[in-house]
Amino acid sequence: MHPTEGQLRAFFDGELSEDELARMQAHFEICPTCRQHAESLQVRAGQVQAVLSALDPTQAESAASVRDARSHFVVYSSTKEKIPMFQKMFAPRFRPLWAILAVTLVLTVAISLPPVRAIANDFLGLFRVQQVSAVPFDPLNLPQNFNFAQESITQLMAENLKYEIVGKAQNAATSEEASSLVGIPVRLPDSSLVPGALKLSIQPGAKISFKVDLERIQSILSDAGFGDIKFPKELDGTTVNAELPMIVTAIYGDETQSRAIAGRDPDAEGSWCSNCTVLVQLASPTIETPEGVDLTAIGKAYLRLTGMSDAEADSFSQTVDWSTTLVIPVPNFASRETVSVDGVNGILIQQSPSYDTQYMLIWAKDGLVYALTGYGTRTTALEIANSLK
Amino acid sequence: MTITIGRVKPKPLSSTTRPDFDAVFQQHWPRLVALLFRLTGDRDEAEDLALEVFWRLHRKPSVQEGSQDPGGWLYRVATRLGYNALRSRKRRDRYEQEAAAQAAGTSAQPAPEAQVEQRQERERVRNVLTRMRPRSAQLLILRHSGLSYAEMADALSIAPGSVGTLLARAEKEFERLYRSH
Repeated sequence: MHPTEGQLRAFFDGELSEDELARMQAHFEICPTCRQHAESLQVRAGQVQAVLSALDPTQAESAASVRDARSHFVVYSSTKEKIPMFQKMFAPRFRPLWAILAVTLVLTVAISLPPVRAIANDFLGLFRVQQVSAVPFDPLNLPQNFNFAQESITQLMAENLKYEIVGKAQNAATSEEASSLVGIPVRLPDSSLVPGALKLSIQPGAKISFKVDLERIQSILSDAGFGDIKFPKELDGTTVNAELPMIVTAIYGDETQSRAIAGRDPDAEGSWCSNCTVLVQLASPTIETPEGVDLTAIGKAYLRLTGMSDAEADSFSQTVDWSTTLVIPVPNFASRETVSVDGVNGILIQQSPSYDTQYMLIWAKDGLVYALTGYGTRTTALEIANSLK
Repeated sequence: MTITIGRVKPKPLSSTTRPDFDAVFQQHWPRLVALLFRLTGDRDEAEDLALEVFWRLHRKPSVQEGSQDPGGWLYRVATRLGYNALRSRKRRDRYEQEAAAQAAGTSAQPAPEAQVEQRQERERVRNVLTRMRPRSAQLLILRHSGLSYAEMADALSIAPGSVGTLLARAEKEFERLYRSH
């Protein structure tokens, strides 16, 4: 009996059992028709595979390492599981607003931790953002009880943090109007580089004061798996003041239109304005710190909170001027580089360095902090940022 | 009521670190992303879809118990998501054309000829795949991504004994459409 076409096909893929294989080889000896048929199947299979190989990823297109992907998955699933902080930081809807959140995060962490003394009106040190720097963090290193700690922190904040909203949310028609409302020289990019209509809006700022309850902070850290991060006893009972200025947001593009991504529900939450270009600018946030505060030690604790080892945090914290530098944690699956932008050094964060993808460019200049996000290449980002007027 | 912070029992460890899930992730991630890249032609999209596939696996109770090899299930879901993405590529193409037109307007450097050729060839191959019967197209891509007959049978819910027959038929169909394109 002649083998079927399927068996002949399976023969070349080594998918026949030993019995079948022996029978097939014996049959080929006596049946040139089947042998020829098998050969023609093999030739065709080879040609089809050769054509299909055009779809194979090239070296540059090949996937991120499994480890990076695994980290990415932690964030992805956290977003899906609605862990509040991750959800806010990484949900696509908020990606264009990473900057604001990074600033808020830094403030939150900084406010919770600085070693301050009880003399509330004896503030000498002042943290003011004059430059930005990026620090990689690996979501896999974050403590598993993070979600739990987040709830405790929220509770702590509710009880010990007082804030006063400054300004109100409103729209502005022109950059001049925005400038006069916020009190900073608002700059906008060359409109030929950013497609779509411009929407200028202002978000309120806040004056924040936080009373340090050291025992509770240590207890939260301990529950979150950071029990080995210790702060000096004299912190207890002191108050830290911080100021987050009003924020000007310029959005280019149609907010209701999202970039169509195949296989994804265009109506799903998270598709908001994903093809918009967004520029955020604000006066540098400030934190008042008392005399004799060891900022490097606080910086080191902050780095430990991003999952860095004690030794790494120790050496990295020595390289940063903590009184002027906003250090932004960037998940390790994103690429980050220091770039020259707007006459200063800034940080460019991209999901992938070699593709058109979402980028975020952050820099500080003349007492202002800028963050630009959009969809495009490194060149696109720099061109837009360098065109600000 | 007094709320005592730090005295509450922490929630159990997140299941995202389950060892068997980790092993499955390690084992299948590269091949799954490569498969999805072939279907979508976009690295970011391929990775996003792969994350979605693993997320769905992660929520599947049977896998949490580590009862069986989830390979077939993974490739079934990935192939479906990737194939849907391939089918809806017309919409994406419009955006790509717009982006290309924009890039042509702003950048003086044309893409190297080899890249243009590669893009055109990929376009042609994907076009052929969308015109084939879905199962045939999926079979070819799965085979090209290195799956065994047993894995393909599992992923596409077909009898292992008929994989060879269907594959030979799919190759015939592909060749005919590719030539006539």
